Amino acid sequence: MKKNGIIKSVTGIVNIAWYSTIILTMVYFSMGSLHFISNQVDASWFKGWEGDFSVPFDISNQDIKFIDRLDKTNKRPIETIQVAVPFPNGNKSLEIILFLYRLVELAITFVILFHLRKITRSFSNGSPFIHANQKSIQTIGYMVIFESVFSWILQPIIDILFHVDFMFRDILIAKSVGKIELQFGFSSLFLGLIILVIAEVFKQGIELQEEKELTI
Amino acid sequence: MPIIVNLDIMLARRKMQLTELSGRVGITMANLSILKQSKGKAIRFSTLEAICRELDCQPGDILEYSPK
Repeated sequence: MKKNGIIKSVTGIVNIAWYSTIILTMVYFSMGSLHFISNQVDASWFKGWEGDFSVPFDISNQDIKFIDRLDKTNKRPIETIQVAVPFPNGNKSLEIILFLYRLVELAITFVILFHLRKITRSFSNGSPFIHANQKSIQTIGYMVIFESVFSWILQPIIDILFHVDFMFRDILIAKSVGKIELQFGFSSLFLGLIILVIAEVFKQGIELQEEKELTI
Repeated sequence: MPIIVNLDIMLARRKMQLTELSGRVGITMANLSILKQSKGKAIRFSTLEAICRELDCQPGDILEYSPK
């Protein structure tokens, strides 16, 4: 099959994502694994607060250090505040759980990209309407659903085990692990369901094509 | 599939090769092979008509229903 522009672009993007994920993974593991948590995080949800504000949780217990405070002479609304959120000393369990969470997320990313590459390669190898592609789309769908459900399962476990304050949780967990966020992934869940429906439609399409080919 | 294609039997009766039938009917060898091996999912009336015409037989001579 002749490749058109969209297929070429998608193939390129998928290949770039694949190789950059491999490189980033190698860099991540070579830099040492467990020190990623004490990142500086962006507390942009403070945006719009003015003046002498109080933080709605006890920051002394959680060891938050404000790096950039509001300049009191300049009474503009705060745009962003950079805060460093190191975990309480000795709390390695949470770090390990978040590390494992990252590993699982990484594995999901690899599986999704692997199957996407398989699908894009099938465009150049002939017709994409093959059962292998249907299986790949289905796997991607299941992975996306698993990713969202996994967050749902892990979040309460972290909350219960480590008594993380509800208000504080968003900034501690979601922002401190960098790109990967623990969140209630309703959008991911619906996306996964849509992908599964597309896989089913694809399956019906393949069956129709086979029937057409085997009509003599 | 409970529908069995007896094309090979009719070909043997008429002492005709599959290649010859393919040329006369205008169907590729690949498709006729699929039909002969009962791997096909459907057959067009036009194809059936052409085969019956060339083999001088009825559709029932080529197709057979077996419940097992």
